[in-house]
Amino acid sequence: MVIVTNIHLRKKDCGVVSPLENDVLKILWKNPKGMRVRDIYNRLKRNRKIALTSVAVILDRLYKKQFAARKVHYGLGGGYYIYYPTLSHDDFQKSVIDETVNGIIEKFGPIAVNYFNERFSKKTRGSKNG
Amino acid sequence: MVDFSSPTCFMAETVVGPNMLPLYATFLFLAAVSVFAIRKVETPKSKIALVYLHLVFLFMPIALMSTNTACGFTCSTCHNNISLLLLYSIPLTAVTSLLFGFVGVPTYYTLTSRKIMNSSIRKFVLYQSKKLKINPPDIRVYDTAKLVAFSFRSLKSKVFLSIGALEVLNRKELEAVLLHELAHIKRLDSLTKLSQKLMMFSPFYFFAGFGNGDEERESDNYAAGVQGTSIHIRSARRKVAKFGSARY
Repeated sequence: MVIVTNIHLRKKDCGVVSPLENDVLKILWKNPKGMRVRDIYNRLKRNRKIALTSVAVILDRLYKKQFAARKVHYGLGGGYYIYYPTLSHDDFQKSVIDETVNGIIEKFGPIAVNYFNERFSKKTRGSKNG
Repeated sequence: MVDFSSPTCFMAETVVGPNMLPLYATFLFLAAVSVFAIRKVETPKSKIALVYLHLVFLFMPIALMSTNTACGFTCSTCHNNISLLLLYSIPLTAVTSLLFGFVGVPTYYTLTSRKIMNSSIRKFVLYQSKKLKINPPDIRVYDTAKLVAFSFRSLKSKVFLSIGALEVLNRKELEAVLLHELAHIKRLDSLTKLSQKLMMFSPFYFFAGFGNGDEERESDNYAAGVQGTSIHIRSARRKVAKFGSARY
């Protein structure tokens, strides 16, 4: 039997978004038709101290991670982006679980697969007995 | 033995002969003089003109000698010389860079951006251009969330602002950035930078006294001077730096 010590999983390996990214996503999920950077900033600053630049950075990062999409709107003042979520809340959670599990399997290989098998068979037996 | 069967051969035989050495030496002397003149002159226009003059003097002997290489294809008495072929590639690269810098890059950014036709930004730029006595540049919006602003001085000057900059910078910061870019256009900084890059083809580059990088500070000073405070330009710079180095 192999005993696994020292597990070093980076955030990136688990596909987890940062707390601020999560807050921005929550606002986007409430407004699936899309929002401007400044509108998201106005919502966020009610609950936490934050700069407009930080919100713009977070939205750009979510766009690059493909959790958010954006459309350019050109107007009199030049142009602006409308950001909207690419995944629903449920789909996002599924994708996070999927990426996390894939990350663990990639890192630990057969040990992780065996562990998941044991864990799920226990869970299935438990639910059948219950 | 001069081969008169081809005019190219005849030219090649005459321009590489020892009687041409004084001419080559004169060209090199003039190239060296123009480098020291670049150091002395103050105005960007004269600096740019002298850079091109220097490159012409420097590459003229190479261009003349290169005809010998071209001749190798047409007559038997000439021979292909790989070193001459390499030398021939230097002026060619310089010309390509010039075309790339003056035509290629501005055209690329123009095609991938959109012109602002009517807005308070445009009015501000028109007014400030009149004060600076320059032709008002086109203001174009460039599609990126990064905070970017840059300008080109070409046949028609252009200032490019990213959508990120338009969204994140406040009114005063945006004006400071525009004033900064107008100062670059007034002082022909994009052309000077291009000349500086071309000058790298010259072995005299380090004697020309380029590379102090003062143009950014001077443009900032101009923006601060017009606005009466450096708060806005410094705040815009902080935001640009924050966008580039943000960790959340």
